[in-house]
Amino acid sequence: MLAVSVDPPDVSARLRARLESRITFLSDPRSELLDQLGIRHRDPPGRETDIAFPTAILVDAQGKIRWIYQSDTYRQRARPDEIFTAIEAMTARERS
Amino acid sequence: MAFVLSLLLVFGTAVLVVSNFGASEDGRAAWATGQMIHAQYPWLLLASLVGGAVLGLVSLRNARWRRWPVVATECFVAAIVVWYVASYSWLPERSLNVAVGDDFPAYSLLAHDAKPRSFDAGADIDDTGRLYIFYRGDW
Repeated sequence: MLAVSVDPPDVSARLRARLESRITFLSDPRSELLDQLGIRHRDPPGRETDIAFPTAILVDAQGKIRWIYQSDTYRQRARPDEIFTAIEAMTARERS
Repeated sequence: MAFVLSLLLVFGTAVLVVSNFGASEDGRAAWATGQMIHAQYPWLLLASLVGGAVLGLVSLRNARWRRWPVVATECFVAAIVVWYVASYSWLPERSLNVAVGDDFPAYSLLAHDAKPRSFDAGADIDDTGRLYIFYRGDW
């Protein structure tokens, strides 16, 4: 599991420590990966830099995208059960 | 009576949402926060706020003027939340450059430890899969 934002590494490191998280936080300050995916939010209200649209992407062992979650509003995030369902579907597919 | 009920509905809902932030059970967000972060429209919360504000307005009939600023505050709180949910929090249209079945794009980015991490779907077939969570940042 990886968390990606436009924050520089030191900001990500502080958030990671505060959350007591053990996952990898990636920093995409120039929105390079965001642009490849098409999830750069340009000129978001109340922010000075472009940021990511809240998105979750599940990638299988071969590097192929298996599931994409996008928020309609910036309030919304994928529910844990939606994520688990997607992971189970991917695992079942790999087994068969 | 209507006035007391309106106070409970509006400020009770507001306090519930705020006090639920950060609270979780088994990793799931507490109910009121769950409504805010998982429902496209948190109908029950909105109905409670708007219903409470309307009750407050109704209770103004033959009431003393001192009640007015309280009901005005209720209407303000309800209006702010409705505006936030129905308008302000919506994201602009976007078009994804990838679809299910595509290779995840290759990248090389710095991680939280300031060391680079890279990925290339053509070369990296070494783990069980990855879940990328893209977040707005600056938290």
